[in-house]
Amino acid sequence: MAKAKTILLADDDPHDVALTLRALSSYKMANQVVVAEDGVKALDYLLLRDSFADREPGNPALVLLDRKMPRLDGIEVLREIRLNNALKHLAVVMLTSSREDKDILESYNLGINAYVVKPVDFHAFVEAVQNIAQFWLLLNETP
Amino acid sequence: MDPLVILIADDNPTNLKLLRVLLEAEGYVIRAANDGVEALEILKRERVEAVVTDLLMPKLDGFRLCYEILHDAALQTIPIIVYTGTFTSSTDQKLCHELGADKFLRKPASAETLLANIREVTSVGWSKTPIRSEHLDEVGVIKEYNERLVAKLEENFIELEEKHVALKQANDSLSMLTRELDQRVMERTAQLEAANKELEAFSYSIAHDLRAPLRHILGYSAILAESVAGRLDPEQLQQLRNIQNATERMGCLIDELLAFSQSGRVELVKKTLSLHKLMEEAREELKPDLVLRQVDWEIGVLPEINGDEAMLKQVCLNLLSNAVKYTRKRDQAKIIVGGRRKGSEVECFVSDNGAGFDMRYVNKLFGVFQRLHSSVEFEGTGIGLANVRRIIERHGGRTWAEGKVGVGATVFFTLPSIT
Repeated sequence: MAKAKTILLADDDPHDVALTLRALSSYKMANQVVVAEDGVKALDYLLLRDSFADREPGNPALVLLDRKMPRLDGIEVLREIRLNNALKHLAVVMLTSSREDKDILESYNLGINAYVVKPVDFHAFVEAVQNIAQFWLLLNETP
Repeated sequence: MDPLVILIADDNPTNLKLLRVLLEAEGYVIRAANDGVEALEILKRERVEAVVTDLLMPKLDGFRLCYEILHDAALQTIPIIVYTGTFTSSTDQKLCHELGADKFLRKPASAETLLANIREVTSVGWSKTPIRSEHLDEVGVIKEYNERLVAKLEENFIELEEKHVALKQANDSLSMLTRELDQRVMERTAQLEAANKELEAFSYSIAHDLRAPLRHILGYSAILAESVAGRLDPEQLQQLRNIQNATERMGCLIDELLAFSQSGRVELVKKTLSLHKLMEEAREELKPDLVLRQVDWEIGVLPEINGDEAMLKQVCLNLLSNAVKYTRKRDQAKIIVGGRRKGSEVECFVSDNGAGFDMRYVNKLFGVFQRLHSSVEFEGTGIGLANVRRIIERHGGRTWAEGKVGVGATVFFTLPSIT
């Protein structure tokens, strides 16, 4: 039996979260999606701090990061993840509105696994999210 | 009669030459000296009818020459014409006469004056007014001479000082103006950089923040459409569809506006390019849109130009895409691309046999978001040609167009030639 894999979704926009969850829900695998409203919450989850101190330990199979979030943004979360020995091999995908070259470059410089611009068209968006989940959860191997 | 020998003394070779030419033309024989010492040597060995001497000369000046001649019994009777440009005051003149000069001429004197004076002093009846050397107040004369020299030096010195002060003032104000200019340039540059940064932040904001709600509208309306599809009547379904279409259109506008602002901001990276190759590449990219269509392409030989590859590729794409779009209603669309060198420019065009446009509104063609056709007939945002114009102008070229409704349209652009 395939172990239930967790996806950490860090995004401050409730609508984006709702749409992403909807896209993931039509994906036929019993995955748990944890939502963090900003970068601090995302790190709280990953480092088992504060409100997540009592959660079941274990890394998520995939981290979906939005770029722009209050308190700590996607780039800063990525930086923290890559600096932490327990977290540095996490599959992190930037899922964001910005197509600016400098954002893409910055993300790759910090070791992002993939950078995907959220399609404006809903069906394209659903397809993109499902592709990402499918690849990183099913196809990709992690240490 | 034997020609008369005239001695001319001047340290300026040009002056000597002028006098020589003038006097030799009159039949005089000339002996030339560059200073007072040479003059005396000539006088000692030759008989001379008259002396024409400058005053300011090295080694032995004109004053002292006159003095020496005066004190030499053999030379005392020779008439002396002083011809000077430096020591020209009446005091100088008085001193010269005291030292035995007979005539005092100021430079520049006319040929007539010079010749008249020489003729006078060499004429048969003329004789020198003798100044008996023993009556000469030696001390007084020497004192006078020294004073004249010092006075002249002082005069020169004062003049130099004044010029120096004026020059320094001019320099100072020039420095000040330059500094002010530099300051203003720096301020202006800082202002422009700040404005540019603001624009970049603005564009970034558009990209990021406007797209999100757009996405949400499309997302929820898609979800809604799916869940209520069966329960809506055709009109209601259409209204929902209209919401989605309008939102998609807004997405396009945002993308194009962003691209347009980038085309104005991003730095051009120029290199030699084959316009022909860019057009061919653009045509390739449009192939998928032409699957069901008959288009007769004619891309002629195009000159090489210097420019930013990405931007000019965009120009080609925009122009060809327009041609393709507006010929959509033709059974046999024809698109011609051509270019030629014209003086210091390269002039190119893209011509189609499509819907064309009314020349009365040609001025609107290149405006941002300006359209001459309804978006029902031909979709589009109306920014393509504005983009083309912006890019071409950034390269130093011009754009214009000609068209006829129902016949077709041609868009022209120029680029500077590679020299």
